[in-house]
Parts: sequence; C-alpha cells; structure tokens
Amino acid sequence: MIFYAWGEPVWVFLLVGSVTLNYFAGILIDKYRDTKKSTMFTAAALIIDIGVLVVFKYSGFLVENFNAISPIDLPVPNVEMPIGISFFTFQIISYILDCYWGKIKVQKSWYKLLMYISMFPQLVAGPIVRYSVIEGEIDNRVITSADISEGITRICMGLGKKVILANNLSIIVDTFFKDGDLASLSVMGTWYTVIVYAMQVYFDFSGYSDIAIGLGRIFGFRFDENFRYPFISKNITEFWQRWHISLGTFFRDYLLYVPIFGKRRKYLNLFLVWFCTGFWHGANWNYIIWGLYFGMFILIERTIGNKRMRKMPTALAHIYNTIVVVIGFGIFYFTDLGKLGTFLGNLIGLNGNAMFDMISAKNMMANAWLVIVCIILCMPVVPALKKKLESMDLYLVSTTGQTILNVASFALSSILLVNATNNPFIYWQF
Amino acid sequence: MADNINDKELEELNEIYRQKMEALKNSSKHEHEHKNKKTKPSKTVVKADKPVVKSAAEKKSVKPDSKSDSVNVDDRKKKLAIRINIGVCTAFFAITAICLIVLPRPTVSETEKRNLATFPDFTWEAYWSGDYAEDISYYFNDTVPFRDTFKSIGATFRSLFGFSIDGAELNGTISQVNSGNSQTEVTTQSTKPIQIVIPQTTESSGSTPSQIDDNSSQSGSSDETSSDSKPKPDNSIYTAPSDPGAVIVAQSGTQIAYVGSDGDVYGTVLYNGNRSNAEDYAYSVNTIKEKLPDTNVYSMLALTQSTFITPSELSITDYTELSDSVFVSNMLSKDIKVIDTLEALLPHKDEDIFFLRDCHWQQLGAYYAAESFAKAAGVKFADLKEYDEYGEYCLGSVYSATQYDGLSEAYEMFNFFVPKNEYTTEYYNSNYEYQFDYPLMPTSDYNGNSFYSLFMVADSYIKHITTDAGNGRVLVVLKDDYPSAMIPCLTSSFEEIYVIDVRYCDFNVIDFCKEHGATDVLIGMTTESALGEIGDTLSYLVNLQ
Repeated sequence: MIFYAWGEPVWVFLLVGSVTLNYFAGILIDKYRDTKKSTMFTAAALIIDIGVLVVFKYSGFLVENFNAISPIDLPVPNVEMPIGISFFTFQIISYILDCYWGKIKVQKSWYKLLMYISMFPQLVAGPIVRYSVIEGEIDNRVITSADISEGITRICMGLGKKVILANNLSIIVDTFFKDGDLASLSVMGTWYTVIVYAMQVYFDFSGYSDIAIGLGRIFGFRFDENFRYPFISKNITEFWQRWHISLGTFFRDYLLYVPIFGKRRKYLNLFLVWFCTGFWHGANWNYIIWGLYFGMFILIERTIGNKRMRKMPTALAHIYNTIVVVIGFGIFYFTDLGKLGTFLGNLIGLNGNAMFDMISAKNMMANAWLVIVCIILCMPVVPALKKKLESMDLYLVSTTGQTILNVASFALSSILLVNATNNPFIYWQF
Repeated sequence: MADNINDKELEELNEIYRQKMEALKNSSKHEHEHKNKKTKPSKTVVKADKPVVKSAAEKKSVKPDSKSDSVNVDDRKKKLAIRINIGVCTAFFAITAICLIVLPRPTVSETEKRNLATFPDFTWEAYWSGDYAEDISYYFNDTVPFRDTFKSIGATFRSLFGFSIDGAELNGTISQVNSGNSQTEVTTQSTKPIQIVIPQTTESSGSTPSQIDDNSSQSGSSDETSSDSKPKPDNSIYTAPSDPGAVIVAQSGTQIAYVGSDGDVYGTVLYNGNRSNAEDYAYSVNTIKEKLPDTNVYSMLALTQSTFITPSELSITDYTELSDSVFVSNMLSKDIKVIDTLEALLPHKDEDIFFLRDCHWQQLGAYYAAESFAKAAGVKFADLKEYDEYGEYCLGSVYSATQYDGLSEAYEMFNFFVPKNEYTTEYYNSNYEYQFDYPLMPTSDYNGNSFYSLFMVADSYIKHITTDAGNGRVLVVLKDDYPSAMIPCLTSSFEEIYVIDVRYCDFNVIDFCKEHGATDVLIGMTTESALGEIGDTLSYLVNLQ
C-alpha cells in the first residue's frame, strides 16, 4: 500500500475501495452459493470492476468514437488513469470468478485480500497473478535460502534486461519512430527499427516480470512465469503461449472457454478474446487492430491444423513467426493510425522510400554489438549454458558465474540509472 | 533467463526425492556399518522432510537414481552456491545502500554546469498531486554521489555498443538531419551607411564582406553563401561551411552534437537569432553614443562557429548569423565603429580559432578580434610573443547540454595566452561593490569542465583591470560571456578596463561610463545575444534610473 500510495496518493483509495467491495462480494457469493443471488452478486461485482476500468481507461476513447459517428458532440472526459489498474482489476476479476466457480475458498480476511491485490512486486505491471496461484501461500509461506537466492538472481537479471538492454534499445526506436522523419525512413531502416522495438518490449516487460517474480520469491510467493522465450516460437499460437502468459491464460480461462456466443460459435469467442487482448493494452484503435491481427493468424493456424503447421520446415516456421510478430509490434507502437499506415507502407517500400539509407546503416553499426547481444539473449542461451556446465560437473562454475553476473548486472544497471531520464516500464501505461 | 519447471514437475521430483530418502533411511543400519562413508542419511532425511520448495535449478539437478554420495555432494554444492549467491549479492546491495546513504551528495555538476536538485519542501498540495514523491525521487537520482564519475563510466560502457568508423567512435543515437531551409541571402534595410573598420585592406571578390558592405545601402539581397560552392583556398573569401553528410546525433535546444562526413563528432550551437528584436540592441548602442558623444563607441557582434564551421545544412533559421550581424550593424548610427569579426577572423579560418565541441571561440580567435578592435581604437596591441602560452584539455559545453555519450570523453586542446605585462584585477558585485582582488586568468584554478571561467573567474563579477599601458585610455566593455576571452588581450592597449556582463549589472551603464571617465565603450556579444534577451537587457540598463 505504501508503495502504491507513493506513486498514486489519491488513487490508492480507489484500490482500497475496489478491494473492499470485492471482499464483500466474495463473502456474499460464498454465502449464497448455488443460488441465483450468488450469480447476481458475481455479475454486480464484475460490472462494477469492469465499469471502473472502462471509466478510467476507456471513457475518453469511447466518447471520442461516439462523437465521430454521431451528430452529438459530447465533452471528452480526460480521466487520469491510475497506475496498474488493468492488472489489479483483472486480478480482482479472477478472484470473483474463481469464487463463483468454487475453484477457491473465499478469503474471509479483508486484510489478506488487500495484501493479495496490493502486492507490490507485480501490482503496477503484472504479471497478472491469480488468486488461486498464491491462495495457499497467503497463509502458509515457506521461505528457503534457495528461494532467496533464486529471487535475487531474477531481480538482478530483470533489472539488467530493463536498464542495460531495453533502455538502450529504446534510444534507437525513438531516433527513427519518434524523433525521425518516418516517411523518409528506408525499407531497411524500418525493419531494423521495428525489430529493435520488438526486442525492447520483450526485455522491458519480461525484465519487469523477472523482478516481480524474484521479489515474490523472496517473500515466499511463487508467481507463474510470464515469458518463456517467445521469439523462438514456430507459430503465433506458440508465441502467445510464451508471451505475456498470465494475460493469455486469463483470457483463455475466463473468456475463451466461457461459451458466451454458444459452443457452435467458437470463432466469435476467439474474435472476442483477441479484441479484448488488444483493447486491454490501451484505448486506441491500433491496439484493437493489433489484437485482431494476432487473432487472425491464430485462426488461420487453427484452420490449417497443428499437424500441418508442424510439417512446415523449422527455418521457414521461425521466419514466418518472426515476420508476423515483428510487424505486430509495429502495429503496437503506432497509436497514430496515419503513422501506422506509413510504417506498413515503409516495410515494403510503398511510400517511395529507399531500400537503404546511410543513417540507418550508421545507426546499425553504432549499435551493432548491443543488437547482436539482444538477439542472442532472446534465445534460451543462458539456461542452455548453465545446463551444459552442470552436465559437465561444473555446477559451482555455473552458479559462481551467475553470482558474478548478478553483481555485474546490478552494478551496471545502477551506474546507467545515474542521471538517466525517466524510463518507465512500457507496461506501466496499461 | 528463466529456466524453471512447473509446479507439477516440481512435486513429482520432490516425491521421487522423498522416496529415495525413505529408502536411504531404511538402509541406514547398513550404512552405519561402513564408517568410512561420508554420507549421513539421517541428516539428509531431516532435510527432505522439511517442506522445502527448492529452486527450479536445484530440482532439475536432483538425480533420484544416483548414488547417495553424489546426492550429498550435489546437495553440498548447491548449499554452497546458494550461500555464495546470497552472501555476495546481499553484501553488494548493502554496501551500495550504505554508500548512497552515508556519502555526501553533490550539489553542483561540473560536467553539466548546473546546480543539482534540492530536497523538496513538503506541502499537502505537492503530496496529493504526486509531485512531492516525484521530486524526492528526482532529488535522489540527481544527486547520486560521484554522479559525474558514474556517468563517465556509463558513457564508456555505451561506447562499446558500436563499431569504429574511419577512426571515429560512433555510438548511441544517430538521428536524421533536420534539413532546415537555410535562407542565406543577406538583406539590408538600413538607409544609413555603416562604417566597417577594416584593419587591413583585403582584396574582395564575390561575396566578400566588402561586398556585403557595398550592398548594405541597398534594399536588395545578395548571395552570402552557397552550400554548393566548394571551399576555396583563398582565406579572404567567405564561403559558408557545407557538409551534406552531417548527421545530428544528439540535440538539446539549439546545442547539437553531429557527425560530420569525416566521421568525427562535433558539437555546436545552431544560430537562432530573431531579427525582429534587432531594434533593442541598435537603440541601446545608439543611445549610448548619443549620451556619450565624446566617447568612442564600438559595436562588435562576434561571429561564432555557426558562421565558420557548422554545416549550413543544419541551419534552423531563415537568416544566418552573418546576415543578421550585417542587418543589425546597418541600424547603428554612423559614428559608431563596427568591429567586423568576419574581417578579423576570415584570414585565420584554418587556424584553431574555435572549439569544435563548445559554443565559444578559442582565445586565438578572440585575440584576432581584439586585434581588430585595438586597431580601430588606435591603441597599441601586444604580439602573441608577449604572452605566456598554455595548453590544457577541456570538455566542450555541448556535452553538458546534450549529454551525448560520444562527447563525454571528447576532450580538446584549449590554448590560452596570459599577458606578461603588469596589471591588477579587482572583482565587484553587480552593484559595483568591491569583493576581492584575484588574477585576471587564475590558471591555478583551471578546470577542464568549466574552462571558460579561466577568463576572469565568472561573468557575474564586474571587473576593474588596471594595467601598465599608461596611455590614459579607459575602456568599458558591455558584453555577454562570449568576448571574455578577448579581455586579457587588451591589457597592453588600455590603462583601465571595466568589464561588465550586462546580465549581472544593476545600474545605469551610461552613468557608469561617465563616472569612470570612459574614453572607449565596447559593446560586444554574439549576434544571437544582441537579438535576444541580452540585447533587451542592455536597453534596460541604458534607461535604468
């Protein structure tokens, strides 16, 4: 609570209020289990939770679009969005739905429910920790030295991902996509920048997830993994099983398998899931397009079938996945649809832009080692190396190396943070 | 970097491990018969019974089928590794935290030439808006002990990101050039002919300063520069610098770092004068002359790198520094002597008269400008042989402004000349109250990060220099920071020199000149200053009651 109040001295009360409301909703759902009242309380809690999210995150977007298609000109609300509202709202929703479905025992202690929602490691940028994951650990936590050691490692590595890698990749992205003249950027420059951006988002968000998981571990909580080297996937379905896993599984468990449109209309459910996935990321059309873009590829892959997809040559599968994912991140970046169009045109030279330009080339050379290291670290090289060393009976070499890496990552990150401009985690905005 | 196994796998492995431990326990009697064996199953059993949830790495390395010896050895290794990791990392965190708490926090950054953040005062308004928490974070971030050293280390690390191109280290950001539409014509509107003091008659051709002068009485325009024109060896002909391949790599306001076609990183200040403010400066100088009819009044609009080095392709204004300096000069009264720094510097453009990564000129450039002024004033001027010459490394101001890593170690040679003749320097505050005596150029205080303060310590002091010139000439210099480097070059030329930076002056400068018997008044600053706030300030000081 102190952590959240430090950054959100006003909206911390919204958090407390939301927890209080859902605490009583949980009690009532449990009390009237298997009755219509239980359903009613669940629906009421969900409507309020989602309503709060809509008001704070989507009201401006909705009014703007309503004004655009109607003769009425409503004033566009300018509501400040509390940090992490998307994450803690989804955690609350998972708690209410799991209560309703009887998957968990209702939490009788308001204080403990508040602790679950306001747990500072993952409060502001995920991962979305479901109540069921840490239900047992709220009351019975065992913290071993192994947990602390692992937690420290995850924190140091996560910090390094964010500060050493993501922050420096962001400078390249800003140079061309934010500060540069996008229309005159060459085909090569556009591809180069969007690839760098994809890696930036990965290291930024997975870095935060590592820090959150590490902190949780030190406090005796075991959060689920949120990333499992997504760029090594061979298709988009697999990519989403490795990327932001907590969000993907949330929609899978709470939306996809809930037959809102009936079992025969599963494609509509799929559409809804990916619409929501995109919309969850932000109140902009590009996010919705981004979600539907991935939904479309998943639909295509389902239509083709897993067996046929597996027959695709490995190299070709990786190329396919990488191209789709990278273009997807371009859609993710450009909230301005005009610029998004320019970006898409740039990718294939439709804007009359050159294939190659010296400025991009110089930038590539200027950041060559950084980019190469990032590409390597997008693959599970470090775990493979550790495994190899351990198989060679060099366990202490492996672990000592990890300790050195931890200290180096922490020290270097601290140095690079000195006088650094504010580089918030990308997912803080969600 | 996560290499974890899921909880289900974890439980399975734990179960296998427990079974193995049970088996070991059952065979403990047999084990005890072999006293030489290192394994102590009972101890291991206790551990296994603990509800310990081990790390993924540990669990993966559990080998239920291996011999008990190896299990124990593995266990010891793991425990040792865990202890090392926790011990080393925690010690490092603790030392870092203690250092951050205990070590004194800096209040000034020498490399950035600014005061650092102060701890914010608490107000409820600031608290509820979130500003208080944000300001505290900013304070701790801004005042990290040894911040300049850490920044330097960070810059060195970032320099490893890139390849070396043509001997120049490129790293960090390289952005696209803002190809401004530089309008290079000189337009003049004055109906009054101006007097340009030319110390030496130079052959003029094409777009030389003389031609600018000739055109000054016309309401037309002429090409002052041409980005297409190739550099000519004749140093008397001005050609605007051009480098179509220049790439801006960092920018802060008008200060930029750019990579030239030669691959070197340069720093400069883009000219950003506003011609519409020319009247303030012209009015001030004309008024001074009007109120001091018996005093020689000079106007010197010092030209900078913008005119001599910065590629014209990077220009951000419609008019150039040179054309604006002519424009302003044309608005001056005819009895004001205009010191033409183009005439003074052009013959020496291939010498080191400007820094390449700082907004100032080298003292050699100031020396040539001072020479031009001295000749216009009709006073003697000391040859360079009459100075003690020094050379020190310095870090240009563009790094401070842009924080571009590629400039963090780009020290260049600062050559300065200390006059050998006799003189004393008194320092006064902005109300002209005596403060202290101190050297004109305190070389013992030299600091490569604030090297320009070598010239008379700080602009905020008014200086009174008394020399052995013995000619009865009293000079008052009204200036911005730029001409500071030329003051030492005038110690042989004037018996007394008063140096006033108009930004730090709280009295009427005309009255001051009268009270101190000024025989000469030099108003010197960059063209951009004259067309900006400093020109405005000067007009205020002229009218101050």
